[in-house]
Amino acid sequence: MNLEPSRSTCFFTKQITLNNEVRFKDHIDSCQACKRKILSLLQNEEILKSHFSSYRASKDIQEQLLEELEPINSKLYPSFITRSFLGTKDFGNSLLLNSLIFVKNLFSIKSLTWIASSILFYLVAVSIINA
Amino acid sequence: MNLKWLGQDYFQFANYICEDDLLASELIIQAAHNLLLDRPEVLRRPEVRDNKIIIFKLILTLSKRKLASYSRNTVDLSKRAVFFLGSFLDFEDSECAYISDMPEAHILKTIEEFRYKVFEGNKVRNEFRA
Repeated sequence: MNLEPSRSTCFFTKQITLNNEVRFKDHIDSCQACKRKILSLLQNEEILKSHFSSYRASKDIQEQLLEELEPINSKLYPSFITRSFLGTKDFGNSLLLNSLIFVKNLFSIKSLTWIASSILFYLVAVSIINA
Repeated sequence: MNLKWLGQDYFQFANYICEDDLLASELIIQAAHNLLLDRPEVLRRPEVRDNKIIIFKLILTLSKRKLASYSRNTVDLSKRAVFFLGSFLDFEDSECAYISDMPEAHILKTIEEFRYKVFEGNKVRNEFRA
């Protein structure tokens, strides 16, 4: 008489997945149906892996892709010389800009008034001291 | 540090959803250009989970636009993307839903549907070989 539970009659067979097989470890060791289930699940995983791996980039494509990505790579990670040159250039630009802003503010009405009033104050003070 | 990582999982993803390696390379380069202009920090730190999600979403959007411009069917693209992300890269359902703009309730169904198709296809292939 065959007392081994078949795959359709074993209660645990339908509950077992690859994530929870440890919970049923003791049962799986003694049940052929559950072992077969685990084996078929593993086979399915293999089938999926091989299905997806057929879409991987071949070596030629990877090399070609890297070549085409090189300009983006050099912009993203510029070399030390480029970074220093860009830094010096930025510093020069900001120096020029700030000088122009200084000149513009120097000849504004507000600053001219201040300059005139301070000169006038100086002249008045000198004349009072000398008198 | 270089952009070699773009040619691995992301190329495989683009190739899987478009089923065309030339188009996949084109998509990867376009996505890299877009990210360089808009969000270069994503390209500098690809190991961050959020950045991965941004890149996958961008590739999917670009592929939809590209295939629509070639008058090709774009209905299956999101489903294929969900299957790839959920089944191969083990992304969570909420992440798959965000990337593919599909309702979260449909994610598991889509994954199971495609799994079934793959196993059936494999069975037919084996029978044909035998």
